Amino acid sequence: MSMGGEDEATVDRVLEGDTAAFAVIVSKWQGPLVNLAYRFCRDHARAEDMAQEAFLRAFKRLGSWRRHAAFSTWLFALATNVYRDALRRVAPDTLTVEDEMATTGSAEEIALDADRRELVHRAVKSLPPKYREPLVLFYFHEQNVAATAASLGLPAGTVKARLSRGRDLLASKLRNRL
Amino acid sequence: MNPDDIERLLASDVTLTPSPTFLASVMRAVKRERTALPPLAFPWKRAFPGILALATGLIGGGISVAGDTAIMRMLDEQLTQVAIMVIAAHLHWVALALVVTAVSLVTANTISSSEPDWLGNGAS
Repeated sequence: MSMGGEDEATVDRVLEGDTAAFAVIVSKWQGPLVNLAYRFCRDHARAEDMAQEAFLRAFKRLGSWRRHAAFSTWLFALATNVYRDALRRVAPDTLTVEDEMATTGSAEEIALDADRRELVHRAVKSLPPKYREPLVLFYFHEQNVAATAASLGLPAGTVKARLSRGRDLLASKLRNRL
Repeated sequence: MNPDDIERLLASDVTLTPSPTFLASVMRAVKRERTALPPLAFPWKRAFPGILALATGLIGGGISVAGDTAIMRMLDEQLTQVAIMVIAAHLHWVALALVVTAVSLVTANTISSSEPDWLGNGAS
């Protein structure tokens, strides 16, 4: 049975009333959904809360999955929407990269790759949502524009344009840093 | 930091492993959801005869009033008096302000509560 067929069979079991079968879906997709949430919020505990909310919504709306699209496409689109709503409910991260540099130390002191990565992700987090979301999803989907576009429900051309603009904004925020 | 560095760091993000209790926690929430009572639905079937009787009464009453010239004349006079009072007390501006407020509240509420349609049937 193909991967998509497995998902479909499991979804059918859940829809027929076998709630326990949903554990198969959670078990299979928990890693990707928690990691996707983490890329939005950069907080492990919160990422799990957000992923749980996404699974719960998926359970409630399982019947609305259109079978012509892959289950993963539907699930990631749903999760992206849940994460977007979750981030909208809290105050935006107003810490600028400059503030972060000031609190973390000078450029010379921050030499480790992990720190550099954290700085980049903080800069991503401070971008406007229309540029942040395509960037987060693009790298989550291993730089696949089509998958990113499907998750966001946007045309591929729009995603490409936003990625380009997002990268420009990131570069300007991080220019001369580290 | 140059664009290549940024690209490399974004592409090589850390990978988290969900905590061992995550699956159980989700399934507990799912079972709670499953056993929760559904919200009470409005009893349309029971209310239908009442709604139908009310509608029939209103339509029938309206037609009979419209057919009676004396009642219509009296109604017209009363409405004219009300209109004069409203204009004298500048109530029309109050009414206009209330309508504008209501429209803006409804519009804001609609915009803030609407979800994007691109996910299809309720995938949002």
